[in-house]
Amino acid sequence: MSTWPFNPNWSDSEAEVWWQTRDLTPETPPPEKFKRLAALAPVLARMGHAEAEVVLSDLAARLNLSAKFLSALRKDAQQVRKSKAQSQKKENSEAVYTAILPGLVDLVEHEGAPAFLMLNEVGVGIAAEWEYEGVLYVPPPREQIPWLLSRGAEVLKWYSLKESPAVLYDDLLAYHRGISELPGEGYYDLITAWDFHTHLLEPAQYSPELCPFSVPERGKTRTGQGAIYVARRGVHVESLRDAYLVRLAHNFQAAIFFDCMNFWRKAEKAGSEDIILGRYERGLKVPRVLYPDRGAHRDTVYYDIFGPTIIATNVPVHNILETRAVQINMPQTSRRFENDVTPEAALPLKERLTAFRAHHLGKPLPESDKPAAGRLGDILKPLLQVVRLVKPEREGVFMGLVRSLERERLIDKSESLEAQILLVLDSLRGRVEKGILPVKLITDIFNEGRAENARITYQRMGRKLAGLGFKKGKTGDGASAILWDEQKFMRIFSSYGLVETSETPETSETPEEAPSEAPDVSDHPDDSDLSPRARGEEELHDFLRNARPAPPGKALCLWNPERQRQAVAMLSMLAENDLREGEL
Amino acid sequence: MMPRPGTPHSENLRHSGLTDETIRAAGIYTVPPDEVGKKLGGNDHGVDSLLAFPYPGCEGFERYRVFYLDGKTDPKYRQPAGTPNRLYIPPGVDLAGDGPLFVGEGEKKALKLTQEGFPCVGLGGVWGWCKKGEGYKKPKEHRPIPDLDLFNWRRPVTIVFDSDAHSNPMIRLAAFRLARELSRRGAKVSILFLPAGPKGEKVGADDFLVAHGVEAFKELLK
Repeated sequence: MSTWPFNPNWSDSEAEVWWQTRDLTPETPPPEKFKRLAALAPVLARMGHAEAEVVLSDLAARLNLSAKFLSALRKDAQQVRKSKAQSQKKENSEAVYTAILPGLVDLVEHEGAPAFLMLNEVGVGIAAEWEYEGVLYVPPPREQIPWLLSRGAEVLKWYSLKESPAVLYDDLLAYHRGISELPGEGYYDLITAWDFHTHLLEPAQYSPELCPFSVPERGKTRTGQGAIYVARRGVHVESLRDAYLVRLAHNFQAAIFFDCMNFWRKAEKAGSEDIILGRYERGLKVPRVLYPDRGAHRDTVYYDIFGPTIIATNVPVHNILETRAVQINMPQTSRRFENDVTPEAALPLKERLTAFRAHHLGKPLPESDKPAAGRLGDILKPLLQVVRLVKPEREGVFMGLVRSLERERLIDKSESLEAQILLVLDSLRGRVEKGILPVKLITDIFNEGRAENARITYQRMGRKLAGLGFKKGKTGDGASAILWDEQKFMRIFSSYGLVETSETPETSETPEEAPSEAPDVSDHPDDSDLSPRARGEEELHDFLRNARPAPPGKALCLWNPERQRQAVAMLSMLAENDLREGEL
Repeated sequence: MMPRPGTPHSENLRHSGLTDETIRAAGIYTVPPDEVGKKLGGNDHGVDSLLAFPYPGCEGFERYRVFYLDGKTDPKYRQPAGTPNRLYIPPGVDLAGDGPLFVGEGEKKALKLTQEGFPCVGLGGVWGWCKKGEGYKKPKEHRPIPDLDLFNWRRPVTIVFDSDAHSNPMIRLAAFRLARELSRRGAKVSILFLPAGPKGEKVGADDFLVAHGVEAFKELLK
């Protein structure tokens, strides 16, 4: 027994073979030699066939082994491989819990336990387990399923009845009307369409996050509960624990109703904002570093978090989710809602919705354009498609709601910082020189009369202007400026709801009309020839000229009255300043 | 405080054939009873006493041979919770030289080999050259610890593992992986799995040297 030189080119298995045969020679008595070599079978089985053959041929040469013995050794190795593969298969055949399978309508209760309701060649069937790609799957244990399961027999009954979805739609409308007071008829259609949407989520790229919003005691929770108890895999949560939400979203693809005070603060504290913000779009994933000890590229797990969401909030959703959600401002009501909202009461409706899903799973939704521009159109499109599929007669009511939501968003937008900057730009159109407007001038005007902490810097203004879509330029003395493009300005201006036109902003005549209304840079007298007083008056006149209603049928310029007052005050101040400068 | 003669600590060191000079130079000491809990982070249930092996050049890092009250024997060695695996480099081992170097299991074996003229670095277990938690439980993952960078490995290196390597393929695997890592760093590696005792009992480098002497060990290296 002595030291043994190690060849660094050996694989682990090769090293093991060489170790076990290190003291064998051609002269070793055959029984001893064969006994030692036979023990190599498991090591050879770990190798690939080619690697094993190389090792065997080396051994044959080194130990003068017969072809017969080599063949026996090969057979032994093959036998070990086989039995290993069999035990592996047995391991794989052990059941795996899942709530997600291709062709799975939903988990249902069957004979007192969770079961799979599966689509098959003849319709649907209930299975206690399901084999897919060689793996046997079983539903999660009942205590791990945080919603009331539909009863399999009831779903099958409704499936065979082939109920008209329009009838179910009407029943759901009546159900929601009996639960809470919503701000308008269209909102009942919104929630009802959302109920269906949760059961036909597969074709949807987006899912609107519904946000009942109000002071306490206006029915936010009842509204959310009513919807979540009929939704597919609806779960009502009051905790925002990150790990739990990830499991609900990733393992169950659940519809989640978040119902807690100080919602956003809690989400931030729990580190789950990315889940809440990302649930509206299919394909968004949240990363979680679960195995930091594994090092780069092996330590992170990405979770799918897409799914229907309701958030009851007493903080305006505008600040939280902006465009991804539809806010429902819960009205004060004199109605009394005597009935309790419970999963049990909602179960028959959910079972009918599950049967509806079984009929429509895998089929495309009716074609539809986006019902509104931008993100609002993205998130409402799947609901519009559902309405078209289920109850086309209600499309008018639904679209009425969409228009109203669109208007509300425009109003919000018109009060934004960007809109205020656009108002300033509009007031400065007369100061455009050679197609250029200095950023410093825009910033100075914007900051006029503002409190110190409300002012913005030249740099931030530059970034905001670039963000709005204006091209950067330089003045003659090298200062930052924007290149003035009248058509572009009018397009942006109207997209912020600052110009309400008789047509949609994209097709509005405003851009064509605007140049004739607005001072043309090339025709505009050189400002340097004007006295400060005259320049201020010119701007004021420009402003008022643009604020004047346009002729019937043409673009109608209607300022937000408050913004108009601010702008006029601002310009008056500017004129006075200029005058003072002139006097000095 | 150096272990007093006649105590279990002293006997333990004598059993490995360590001289007073080696023990003194290595700074091995008996942890005062009132510090035992502190050294083990409060996790000292059933512990009678600790024999401390300070790791030279490791900013106060120590490993402890644990002596239990109730006859329990495992784990024999412990280190403060949350500390990484380190290499035990006995005084006198030349990090930068190009002479033969041995890599053994544990502090006492490293000290005994070094004492007998076989400069040896000690691992805290056969996978002690990997980051903690790797190697033993996850043989596919074995990132070497930074202490390996302290050495010039362009020299003959012999990995000396206990005799249980003959019967335990995981120990052999650890030796092969370590050999490959050291070869990658330029070492010319040999492996020595010590022969078991007459009744098949486990034998470490210190046991072998005590039982058979330096010449017998040199025979193994041939």
